[in-house]
Amino acid sequence: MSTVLREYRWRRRLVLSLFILGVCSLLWRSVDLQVLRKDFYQREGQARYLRTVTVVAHRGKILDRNGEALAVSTPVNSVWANPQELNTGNRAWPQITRLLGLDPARIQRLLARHKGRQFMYLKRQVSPGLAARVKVLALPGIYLQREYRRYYPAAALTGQVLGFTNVDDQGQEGIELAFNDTLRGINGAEQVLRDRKGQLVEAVRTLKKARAGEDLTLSLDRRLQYFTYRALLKAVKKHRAKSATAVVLDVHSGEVLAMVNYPTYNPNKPGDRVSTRYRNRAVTDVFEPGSTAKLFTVAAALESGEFTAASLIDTAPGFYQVAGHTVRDSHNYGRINLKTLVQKSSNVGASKLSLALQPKTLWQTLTRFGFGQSLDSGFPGEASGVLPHYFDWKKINRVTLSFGYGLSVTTLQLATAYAAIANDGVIPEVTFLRRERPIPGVRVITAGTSRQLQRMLEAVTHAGGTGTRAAVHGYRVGGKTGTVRKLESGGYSDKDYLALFSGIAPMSSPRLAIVVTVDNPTGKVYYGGLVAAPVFSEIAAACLRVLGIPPDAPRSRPANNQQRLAGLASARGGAVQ
Amino acid sequence: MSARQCLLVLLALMLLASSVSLVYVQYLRRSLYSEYKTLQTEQDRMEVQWGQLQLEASTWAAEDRIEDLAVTRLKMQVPQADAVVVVAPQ
Repeated sequence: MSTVLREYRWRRRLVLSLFILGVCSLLWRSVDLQVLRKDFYQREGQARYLRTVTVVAHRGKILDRNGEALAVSTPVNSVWANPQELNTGNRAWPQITRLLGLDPARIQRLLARHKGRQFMYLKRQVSPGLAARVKVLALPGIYLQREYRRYYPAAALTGQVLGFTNVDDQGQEGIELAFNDTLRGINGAEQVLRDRKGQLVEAVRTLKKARAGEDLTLSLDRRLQYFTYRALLKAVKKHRAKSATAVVLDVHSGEVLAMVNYPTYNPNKPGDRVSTRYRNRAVTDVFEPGSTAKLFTVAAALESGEFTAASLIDTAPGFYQVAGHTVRDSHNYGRINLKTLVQKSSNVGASKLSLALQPKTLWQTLTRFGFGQSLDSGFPGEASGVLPHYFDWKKINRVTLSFGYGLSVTTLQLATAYAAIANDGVIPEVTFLRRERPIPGVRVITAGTSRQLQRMLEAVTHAGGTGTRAAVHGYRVGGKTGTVRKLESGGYSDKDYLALFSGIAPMSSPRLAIVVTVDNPTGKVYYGGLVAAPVFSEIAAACLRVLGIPPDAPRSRPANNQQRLAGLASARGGAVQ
Repeated sequence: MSARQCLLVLLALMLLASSVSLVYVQYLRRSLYSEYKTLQTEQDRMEVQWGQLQLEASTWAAEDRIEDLAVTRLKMQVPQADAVVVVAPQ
């Protein structure tokens, strides 16, 4: 027995030591894996099942006040290449360059320059159909990436107000820029577990919360925008003008219902994005308001308490010398009251009125109406215009300011000032966003004064006034004409005019303030009353009808109306109530 | 079996049940998450489609197109001002 044991003693020791060695190496290995190289293996493991995915949040839509889409982001594909994987010798490559409309020589140079990189855009934002055809070719090294592109269905109608976004869907101009923080979506990032088939198993944690862009409802009405656009287009063609601008304001809420400049641009065509064309001139460009400012001189006179609408001013003989300059009227109006002054647009009357007032009074009135100050509409590039301080006024300034020279305003500012007169003396706070209820504005003149001014504005559109062509059938409207000689280097131009009409409607209970400017009409006529007033009439008629504002003018043939109604009633079996 | 042994067996069984339920809940969580993701993708897709439909509707309803159709195909016209009767609400 013992001999046998002895015989196997070495073998037993060998086996035992081998076992011990084995256990030791296992122990070492586990220490190595679990302790020494833990980080490395954990990382490698996670790299195989943990993924960070982007949670895409797209840009909010822009809607008009009735919920019509004005700007929508929709997914498109961008084609990109990995220059290290791409083999341009492949037969599919020429097909791809042809599909994407790329210049083969140019793209070869680009590829050579990006040789060391793994990413290069071939073409951004291609249509889904084209992307599908590229995908079918399945050339290694060519990939598609989902991106968003912004479309503007109303195109030119709303182009200048909305502005546009860049290729990365970030606002660059207009509303898109002003409200970029509201509209833009913020992509989130999430860490997830993925199984072998690439399906999401579990969200481990949210690295960054995604925030979808909010939709924005504007104050604009697409229908009014269209009618305004159409009227401007017609006027520019007819009078061979350089451009035209119109603004329609809700006088109670301060909402911009329509704002159009012609010529405009199509935001869907990137080639159209030239600043001279996409600039929203109604807000960014200033001009001298001319005769449309006479109303504010009269407002200052009425507010001073030294004048009433019946106060008489002698304008005979239709011109006079003041501070070395001659102020002229087109006719000799003789002794006229303030109402006639506005109706006939007398320069002599307005300047004499201004000289009879303290400079501070006129300055205060103009300032209260918002001249020389920003409207704080939030629109990018908004101009505030210029109104010199009355400390710096010489006598000639008091004269020219009374009929609208020597200060500058934007179309929107002028519309807001007229809105204050329409809104019984309270200037509304202008906004491009829809308001559920009006917010109280600031009172600038008494309600009594503003009613007197309204009656004067209405007289302008009646027989004997300068703005008879502004009349709208079935409605009472009012407004003030203006024909401004434009400032050139070295003085006022003899042939470059700005035709203006600034009005409100309907007079029985004003709802709208509309300002029309036509720049440099080169046809037979250039007066505001002949060029801009008909445009006002057309825009006002369309706006009043679309908004469902009942006619307030006394019907010329009420009996006839009754007969028609009776006819209608009998035709329908007497069912009309 | 003593009371002590009974307690041990009971605890062991409870432990088993708890661990099985843990596995089940984990499974449930993952399948719900997967469903949530599917629905989210669906929602995303529908929102994109809604945007595209709005674009399409907006293009078809473009004012100049409507006006053109009304005038040329339907031979409609804006009534003259004196042909309009306003019926005031009583």
